[in-house]
Amino acid sequence: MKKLLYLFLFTALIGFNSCSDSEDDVKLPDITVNFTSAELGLDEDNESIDITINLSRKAESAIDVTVGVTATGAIYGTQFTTNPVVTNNQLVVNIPAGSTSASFKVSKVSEALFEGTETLAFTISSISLNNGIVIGDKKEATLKFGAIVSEGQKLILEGKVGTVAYANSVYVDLSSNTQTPVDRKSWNLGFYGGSDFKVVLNGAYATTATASAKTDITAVTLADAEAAKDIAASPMTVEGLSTEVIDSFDGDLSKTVFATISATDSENKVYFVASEGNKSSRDQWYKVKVSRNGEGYKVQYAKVSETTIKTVEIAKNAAYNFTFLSLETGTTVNVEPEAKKWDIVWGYNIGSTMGMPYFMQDLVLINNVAGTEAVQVMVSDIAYEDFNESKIASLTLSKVRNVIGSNWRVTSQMGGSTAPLGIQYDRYYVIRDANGFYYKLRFLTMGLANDKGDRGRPQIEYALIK
Amino acid sequence: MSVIYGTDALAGVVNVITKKARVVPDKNTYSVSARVQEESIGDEYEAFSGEGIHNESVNLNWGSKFGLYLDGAYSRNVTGGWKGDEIGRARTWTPKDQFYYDGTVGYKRKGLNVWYRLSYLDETTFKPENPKTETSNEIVDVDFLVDRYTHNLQADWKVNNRLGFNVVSSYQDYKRRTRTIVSDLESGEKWLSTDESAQDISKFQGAFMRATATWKATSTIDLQPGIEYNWDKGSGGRIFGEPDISTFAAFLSAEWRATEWFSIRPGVRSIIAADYDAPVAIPSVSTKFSLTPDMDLRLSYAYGFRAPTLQELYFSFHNANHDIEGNPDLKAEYSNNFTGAYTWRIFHNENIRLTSTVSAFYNDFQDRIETAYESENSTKTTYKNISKYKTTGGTLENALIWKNLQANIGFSLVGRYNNLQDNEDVAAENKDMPNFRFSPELSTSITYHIAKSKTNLNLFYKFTGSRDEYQYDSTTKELYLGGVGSFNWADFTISQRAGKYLNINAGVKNIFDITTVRNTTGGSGHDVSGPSTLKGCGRSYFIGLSFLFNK
Repeated sequence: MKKLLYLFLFTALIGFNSCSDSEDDVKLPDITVNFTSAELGLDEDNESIDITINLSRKAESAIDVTVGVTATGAIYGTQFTTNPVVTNNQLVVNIPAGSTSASFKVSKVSEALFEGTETLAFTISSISLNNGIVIGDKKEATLKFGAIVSEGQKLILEGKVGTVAYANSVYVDLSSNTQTPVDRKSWNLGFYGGSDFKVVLNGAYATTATASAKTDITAVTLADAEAAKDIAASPMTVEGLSTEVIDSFDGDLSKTVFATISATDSENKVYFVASEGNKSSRDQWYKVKVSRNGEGYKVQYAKVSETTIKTVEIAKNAAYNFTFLSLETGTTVNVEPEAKKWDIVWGYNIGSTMGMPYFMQDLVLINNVAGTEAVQVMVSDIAYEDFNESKIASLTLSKVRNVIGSNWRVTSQMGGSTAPLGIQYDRYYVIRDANGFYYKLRFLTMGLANDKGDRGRPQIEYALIK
Repeated sequence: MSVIYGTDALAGVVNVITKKARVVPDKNTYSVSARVQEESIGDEYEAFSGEGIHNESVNLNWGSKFGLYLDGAYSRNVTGGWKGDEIGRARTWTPKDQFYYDGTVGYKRKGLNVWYRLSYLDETTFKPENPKTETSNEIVDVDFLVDRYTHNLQADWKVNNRLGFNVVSSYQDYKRRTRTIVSDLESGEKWLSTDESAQDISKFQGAFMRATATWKATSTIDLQPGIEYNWDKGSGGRIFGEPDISTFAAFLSAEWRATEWFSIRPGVRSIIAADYDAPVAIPSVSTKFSLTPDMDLRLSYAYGFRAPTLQELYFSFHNANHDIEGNPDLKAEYSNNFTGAYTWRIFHNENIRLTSTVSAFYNDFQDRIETAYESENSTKTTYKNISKYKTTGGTLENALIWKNLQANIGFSLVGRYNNLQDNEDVAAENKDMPNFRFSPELSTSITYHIAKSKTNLNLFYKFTGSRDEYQYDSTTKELYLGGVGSFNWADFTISQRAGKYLNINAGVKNIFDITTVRNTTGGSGHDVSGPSTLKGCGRSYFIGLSFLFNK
C-alpha cells in the first residue's frame, strides 16, 4: 500500500502540463491590395501609361482584381483604350502567384485631342480571394490626360524580384507619382549627356575601375592587369577595396575614376573595369578605352584575356543625364528616366562606412546631376506634420548625392550602436526637385524590426511643400 | 574509433539511456520508477515552473517470462532561463520547455534480442526581446518549436560462442519552426512578423543503418566486418533547395592475440559511395603490449575524417549584411591521430585498487572546413577546405578504490597549434614564437559511501587552465596573447536512501560561483568576440527525490 501511495504522490507532483499552445493561431498581417499611386498624369509627351496595383506582400495564389472605370470628358474607344479592355465599365487585372504587383495600360488613340482636363477614375471594387487578403486604403486612383504635380502620397518601391530583395534600382519622380524599377545589373558604364565628356561606374553592380599605364588598348595584356590596383578586393578587410577604384560617394563628376575624356586621344588611358560577375580573376576584367567621337563617345573594350577589340559608339542625349552601356551585351540600356523626371533612386549600391566602401542595400541617392537637392531634418527640431513653406528658409539644402544615403535606417546594432534597429523615425528629408518643387519625405516600412513591411520594398511617404 | 563509427552527420543517431525491462525465464517482471528534481539557476528560482530548472520523469517496464518486453518513459524538463546581465524581458540563457516520450517493444530469447523504440521530443525555446525603444508599445517574442521523432530498430543475435551479428538502424524526422510574434501591449493585438527570416520551417531527415558481424575465426584471431549507410536530407530558409547527402561504407577490423603479451588490432573503413569527396580507405591500427601482469603499453594510429555537413554543402543565406553560400565541392576533412598509453595497476586486491595511466597524443588535421571569401565574387562568403591544425599533449589519470572511498584524479596538458606559424611574414618577424600553446586541466572526483546511514557523498572539482593563443594586430604589427581565462569549477552532491523505494539527492553546483570568464580572442572586422565568455550562471542548488520499485 505504501508504494502505491508514493506513486500517487509522484504522479500528482509531475502534473502533465503539456497544455496546447495558445499562440498557434497568431497570423501574419493581412495582405492589402492598393493602387501604387493614387494620382497620375498622361501628358502630351507620352502615348500610354501603366497603372499599377500592388500587394503589401506576395501572395501564395494568383489574385484577380476587378477595377471599375469612370471616364469624365474622355470617350473609351475614341480617345483612349485600355489593356486589358473595359467591359461593363470594369476591367480585371491578374496578379500572378508570388508576384507583388501587376498593371494595366491606358493608351491614347492616335490623333485624339485632349484639353488636359479629362480624367479617368479607377476603383478597386473586388478581389477574387479574401482569406487574409483585403482591399487597402488606396483603392481609388485618378488619371488626368495632362501633367500633374503630386500633392504627395504613400508609395511602395518595387525593388524586389522573386525572392531577391535587392534586384532593382528604383528611380522615383515625386511630382508625377511614378517609379521606374531597373535591373541593377543591366549596365556597367554611364556616359554623360552634358557638355563635358565624363564616364561613371555602376555602383549598384559593384562596378569598380582603375587606370592602366597604357593608352593603346591592343597593347594591354594580363601583365598590365596584374600590375594594376586590385579592383576585386573585398570591402572592409585588410588591403580591402579602396576608395580610389570607385566614383566619389558624393556624386561629384569631377571625382570619378575615369578622367575626363580628352580631345587629345593619346591622353586617354585604358581602364580596367570589373562588376559583380567578372571579379574572379584578372583575366576576366574588362579593358576599356573611351575616346571622343565628335559630340559623342567611342568605346573600345574587351576582356583582358581577349584579343578581339569591340567598338561601340555612343551619342549624347541632352534630355538624359547619362547614356548607359552594358559591356556584357555591348548595347546601350534604358536606365534613368529623363534628367528632370526623377528625384531619388533607392537600391543596392556602394555606400560609405567610416569613409570606406561597403556594399549595402537601401542606399538612397539624389539626382544631383540634374540639380536635385536635399537635407535631413530631425523631428525634434520640426515635426514632419509641422513642416511647411515657411520653414524652408531655415534649411541649407545639399547637392551631395548621398545626403540621404543609408542614414534613414539601421540594419545592425554592432559596434555598440544605441540607435534602434530599422527605420529611424526621428528624421525625415526635404527635397527640392530639378523643377523647383519642394517635397518632404519620410520612410514608413522596410521589412525590418517588425515594421510590417516587406524587405526590398520600402514604403515612403511624401507631401508637396511648395 | 573512426573505423567502426565513422562520423555523425547532421541529424545523427541520438541515444538516450533509459532503463530496460529485465527478462528472466521463470517469471514476469515489472518496475516503476519516477523522479522529481528542482534546481535553481544561480539565484533565480520559482517552485515547479518559471525560473530555475524543473525536471520530472516516470518510467514503466514490463518483461514477460516468454521474452516479450515493453518500456515506456515520459519526462518533462522546463527551465525558466537565466537573466544574467540582461535587462527587461531579455534572457542571457533562454527559457526552454522539453517534453520527451519514449516507448519500446522488444523480444529477447536465448541469443536473440530485437527491439523497436519510438521517441518523440517536443521542445520550445523562448526568446523574449526588449522593446526597440523605451517608449515602444510593441514587444517581440521569437520562439523555436522543435518536433523530433526517432525510430530505432536494433537486433543482436549470438548464433554461438564464435559468431554473432548486430544490426542498428534509425530514422529521424526533425522539424524546427521559427515563429516571431509581435504584440502591441496597448491594443493587445498580436501578429506574425513579416521580417526576413522571421518565420521559417526547417526540416531534416536522417536514416542510418549499420550491420556488424563478430566472428572468432581461431582462438587467437577475431574478425569484425560490417557495412554502414547514412543518409541526411534538409530543407528550410537557410538551406538551398532540398539537398540530401548519403554515404555507404564498409569496414573490417580484426584482433590478433599473437602471444600472451602482444595483441594487435588493425582495421580499415572504405567509403564505397558518398556525395562528397571522401577518402577511399581509412586505416587504423592499435597494439597492446602486456609488459608484466600489472603493466600495459598501448600504441595506436588512426586516420580520422569528418564529412562536410548539409549546411556546409548547401547553406544559403543572403541579406543586407550577409552573403553566405555553401560549397557543394567540399572534401571531407581528414586527420592523422597517434596515441600512446601506459597503464600500471599499482595495487589490485580486495581492499584497494589503484591504477595509473600516462598517455600522449598527436593529431594532425588537414583540409579543415572554414569560411572564406568566394573567389568568383569577393563579396560572398562560402566554405572551403583550407586550414591545417595540430594538437598534441598528454594526460595522467589515477583511479583509486579503497574501502568506501572512490577517487579519480586526472591531469592533462593540451597543446594547440599556433596558426600564425603559417603566416610567413609574421613567422619571419617573430622567430622565437612557439609552434604550440599549451593549456592545463585538472579534474578530480571523490565519492565516499557511509554504509551505516546509506549515504553517498560526492565532490567534483575541475580546474581549467587559461587557453591563450597568439594574435597578430596587422596595423600595429604587434604580436600578443589573447584567449580564454582560467577558472575553477566544483559540485557537491549528497545522496541519501530513505526507506526501501526512495532516494533523496541534494547538492550545490558551481561552488566557485562562476558566470563569465575573460575572453580576448580577437577576430577580424565585426566578428570580434566580447571581452568575456559565459561559462555558468553562478552558484546553484538542487534537490531531488527518486522512487524505484522492482518486482
